[in-house]
Amino acid sequence: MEKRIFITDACVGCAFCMLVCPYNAIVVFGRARVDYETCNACMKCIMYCPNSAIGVEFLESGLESGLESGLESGYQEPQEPKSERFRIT
Amino acid sequence: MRVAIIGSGLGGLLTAAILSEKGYKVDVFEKLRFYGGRFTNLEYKGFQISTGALHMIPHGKRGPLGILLKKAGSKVEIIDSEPEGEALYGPLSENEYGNGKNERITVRSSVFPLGSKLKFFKWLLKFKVLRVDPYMDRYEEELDDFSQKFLRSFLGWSLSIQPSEIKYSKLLAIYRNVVKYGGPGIPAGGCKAVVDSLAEIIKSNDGEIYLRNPVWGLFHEDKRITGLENKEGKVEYDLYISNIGHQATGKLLGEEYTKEVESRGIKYSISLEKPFVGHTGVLFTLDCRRISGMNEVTNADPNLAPSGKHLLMAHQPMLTPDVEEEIRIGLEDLKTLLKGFEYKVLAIQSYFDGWPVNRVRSGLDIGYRTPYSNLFVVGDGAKGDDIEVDGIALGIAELLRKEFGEKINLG
Repeated sequence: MEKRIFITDACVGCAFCMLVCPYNAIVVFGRARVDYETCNACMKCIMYCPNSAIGVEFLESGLESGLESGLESGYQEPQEPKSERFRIT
Repeated sequence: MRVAIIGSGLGGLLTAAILSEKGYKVDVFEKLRFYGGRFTNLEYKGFQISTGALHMIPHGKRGPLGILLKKAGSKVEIIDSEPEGEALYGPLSENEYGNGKNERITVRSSVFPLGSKLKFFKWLLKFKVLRVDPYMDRYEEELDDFSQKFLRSFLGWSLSIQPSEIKYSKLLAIYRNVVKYGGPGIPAGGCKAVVDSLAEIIKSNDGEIYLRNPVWGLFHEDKRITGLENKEGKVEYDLYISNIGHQATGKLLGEEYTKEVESRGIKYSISLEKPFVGHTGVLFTLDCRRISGMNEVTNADPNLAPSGKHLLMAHQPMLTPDVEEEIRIGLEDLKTLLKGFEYKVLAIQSYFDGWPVNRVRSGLDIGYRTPYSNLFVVGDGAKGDDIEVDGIALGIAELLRKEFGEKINLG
């Protein structure tokens, strides 16, 4: 399953995540931002965040088949991939 | 006697180390995967970036922290700053306010005009006799330009506050400590060397530091703590010492017994090809819009940066809640200051909202006691009247004296 890191409003910009990121995929300017091009979703940042402000979302796989059945039942295509969010503290 | 320490910041580790030396069995619980909190290093591109504090101890080895570290048996080396402080005074660039001529002035008593010094004693008299104790913004206008700007820089650098946020009496207490203990020092190896030495002491005395082991709650009965709750369930101790501030400790108890006002700031870690400050002391930047001061710790310990590079750290208080705007102004200041120098901003770290510079703004600390007889608070949420980590040490000294009957000679 594909993973994606996200930053919540609890972020204050202490930059621990940027300092420990092995991929240099985080920039911090008052708040952390993830560069998804370089992020490998290794989740090291999550383990160092003192404010529990970083989470990971697992992008649902098999979106295509889900979309098909959704269209059949008149379901509208979602703007963004459906995701399940939870936080590791 | 078994003691649980909640949080492994400098306050928690220092208390744990001293108590473990006295024969107490200490267990330190830390939610993160490293100890030290805002007083350790994270290596970044070969630089030792501090997690919070500025690789500097306000009163060096002679101050309260230096004395307690020695008492705990820490072998960490603290290099005295020389000069202790310098003030960069005068307009930084040519503009409508000035000709861009500035100078560096070594901070000592003689550089402050007599008139301003007399003012300070007039206020002292008013305080002693009439108990007049206003916030410093009421007084600062009576000072000359240099003293006024120095006061602002000093408060911004050391406490992340403005004159309107500190009463005269508290400034007086801090001033007395500066006179008594002297200026700053830099621990060789940075903040991490200090906490590493404490962790070693704790472990050598059979104490434990549990990482990634948050405390979720505290059980209590008749104003006594009966246990803590973590992933193992309920664990019982005789004494509980919290290093997470009174407010967060209240959350563990399920009650709010006090509300804290924090101090907020922003720190810049900068890589330089050649030194800018050029010495081991503080450079107070009097004519910046935001930056209060800076230090260049590689002048004391070159190992804090890759070979041939320098690590400059600048600090500013947050004067408005708009953190991005505050950083933009801070970066403008740095650009003006470092004109002609080859530099790179390695990290911009902001501290507020539950992860602040100080959990409790200096002058508002309520002490180590809680409404619970076997629960005490140490750290930047329970400081004595001194700067940063020396304030933390004063708070711990008070706890050790009053609750553990320790004899501590702070000079």
